Amino acid sequence: MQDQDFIIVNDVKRYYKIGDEIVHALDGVSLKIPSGQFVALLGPSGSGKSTLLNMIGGLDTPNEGHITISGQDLSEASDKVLSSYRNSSVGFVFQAFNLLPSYTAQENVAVPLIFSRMGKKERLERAKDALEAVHMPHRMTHRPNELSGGERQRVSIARALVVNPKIIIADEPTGSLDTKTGNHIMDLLQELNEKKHITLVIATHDLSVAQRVQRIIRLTDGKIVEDYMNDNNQTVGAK
Amino acid sequence: MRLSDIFGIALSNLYKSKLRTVLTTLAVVIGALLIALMLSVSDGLKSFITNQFGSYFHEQSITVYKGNYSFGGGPQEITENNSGSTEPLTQEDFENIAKIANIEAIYFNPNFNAKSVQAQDSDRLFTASTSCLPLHEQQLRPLSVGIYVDYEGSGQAVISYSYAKVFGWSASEAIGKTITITIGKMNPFSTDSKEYTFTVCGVLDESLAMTSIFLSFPDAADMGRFYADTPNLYTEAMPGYILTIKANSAEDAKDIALDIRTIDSKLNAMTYDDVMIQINSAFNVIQIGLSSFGVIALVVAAIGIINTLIMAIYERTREIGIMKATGATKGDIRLLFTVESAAIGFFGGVIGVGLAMTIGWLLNVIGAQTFLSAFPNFHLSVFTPLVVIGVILLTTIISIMAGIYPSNRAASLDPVEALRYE
Ligand SMILES: Nc1ncnc2c1ncn2[C@@H]1O[C@H](COP(=O)(O)OP(=O)(O)OP(=O)(O)O)[C@@H](O)[C@H]1O
Ligand SMILES: [Mg+2]
Repeated sequence: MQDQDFIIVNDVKRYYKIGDEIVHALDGVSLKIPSGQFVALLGPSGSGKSTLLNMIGGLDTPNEGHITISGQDLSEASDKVLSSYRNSSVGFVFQAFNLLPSYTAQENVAVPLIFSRMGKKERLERAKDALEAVHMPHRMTHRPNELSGGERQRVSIARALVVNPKIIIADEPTGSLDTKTGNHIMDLLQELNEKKHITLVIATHDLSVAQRVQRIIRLTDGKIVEDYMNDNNQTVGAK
Repeated sequence: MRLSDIFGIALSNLYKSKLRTVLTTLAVVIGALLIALMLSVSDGLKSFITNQFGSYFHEQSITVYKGNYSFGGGPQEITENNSGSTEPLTQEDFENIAKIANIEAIYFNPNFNAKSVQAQDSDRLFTASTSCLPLHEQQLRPLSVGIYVDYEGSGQAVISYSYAKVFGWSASEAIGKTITITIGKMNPFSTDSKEYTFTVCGVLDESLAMTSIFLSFPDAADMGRFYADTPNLYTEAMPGYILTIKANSAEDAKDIALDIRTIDSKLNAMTYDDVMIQINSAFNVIQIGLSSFGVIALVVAAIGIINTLIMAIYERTREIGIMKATGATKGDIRLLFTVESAAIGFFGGVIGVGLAMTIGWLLNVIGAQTFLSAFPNFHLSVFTPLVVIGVILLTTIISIMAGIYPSNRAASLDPVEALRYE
């Protein structure tokens, strides 16, 4: 069942030229993530966590090296291929939520389905189901500014979930939340990982968050410095 | 993306920034209003002029003359084929023309300027140009009262409404009154002159904006012969400067005109069609000139649209990032912005044309009661479907063009940067 070669990152480099200087956001990163795994990228600010997540999510492409998802190479894919990959295979969760302020929670969750060419009625139906899956059935018609931070993050997780993605990418999903709310969000992500077998890759610099996942990858200066399985991932969060 | 979603999102985006949309659209409205109004007024004038000319030119008539009319312009070289002015037609010309098929009748044209005309019991003198109307052209110049002169008769005259007015008569009072026309000599050194007296038998309709006196052929020809000191003028031997030919049909008229031109390159034949083509081409120039104000307004509007959309990109950068992250293609984003700009152009055009039609209608209503009351059939502003659809199409296309750069810029935003944008 488990695809050992689900995500393959092969010697990926991503650099930015700023004047004469070259900043290496990722400097030769290689790793494999089997399907269904819950992975945390850990590391100081500027170590390349977001850059790597964006590559896996098809938002960015490497300058060198290859990213392969289920055998499909994203490195040189066209805008059409990448868009459809982002639309149907990946869900994004951001630290800043990135919800559309003028849309209700339900409408926000339904946004990805607009680009799947789904009809409005069905979209809203699916959005309702997704909001129920994140335990938010009672806030469907609220707009983001009428929701708490934790609620907003649940809405954005529902939005990631609505297309039944294979991967959810979460860039510091608890970064804007207090510890308790952050823990609830981690509970939810863990639940999705276990029940729906969605592969989850999150970035964080909070070790206590990282402790709750199956595998921890440490990045420094765009390089992997540590990559290990976390044995006591069920217990740390309770502390 | 579904088309319905593209339109829904684009329109709701415009609605969200109402004030900006209204102001941007206003510029388009002004442009569309100016263009539509100018076009409608020149269309109105055009149909007025063509109607007026239609009452001078009969569809079956062909006017034949020889040589060139010179209307200003630079010096023309005089060659074998170009005498630089009109020449009298010859007997040979007449015979050649008469041989052409499908000619119903050939009329001589005794029209010239008399010295003066004067009403009975009055010493006031007025200028006069007299002519003889071929029978079939009489229907083009309806009378308000009376009857036409007998073409072969003598002593009768039909005067235009303007003469009745200056003589101090109403149209019906004029019937039965006499007028005296004084003819001089073509030779400027001759002081000889002759008076002819006519009884008014008809007055032209007021709507015909012309100043003429129509006589029977024998009278007009006699006066012309005296004027030119040429007794056999207006006969086959000396046809004069102009012949009016009546063709069997309007179609035949074009063929006959072609045949006449091939007889002799100096012979010119003008049909109703030729006149209409000239009027139309003159009006095309006028329309382009008048609508250029509107076009300038539209260019300004286009700059406004570019500006508005670029501001919208800044405002919606994060939104564009979210859309891209959730699966929007470059094409989707481009289409969204293009539809927004097209909508501004379309609605601006619709409102502008609507306003222009309202103003045009007011002009017609007010005009009919005041400054245009003399021309009951004249509508100053005429909206053809071509103008209505054309102007709306024009504003929409210009707006889409204005949207090209902003749309591409929005489409090519880097999603990572866009999502990070504050
Ligand atoms: N568009 C860009 N232009 C220039 N440099 C960039 C750009 N994006 C990222 N970088 C650089 O690449 C490096 C990695 O950035 P990245 O955002 O991946 O770090 P991060 O680990 O996510 O940091 P944080 O924990 O602060 O989010 C940083 O040094 C950053 O300055
Ligand atoms: Mg980051």
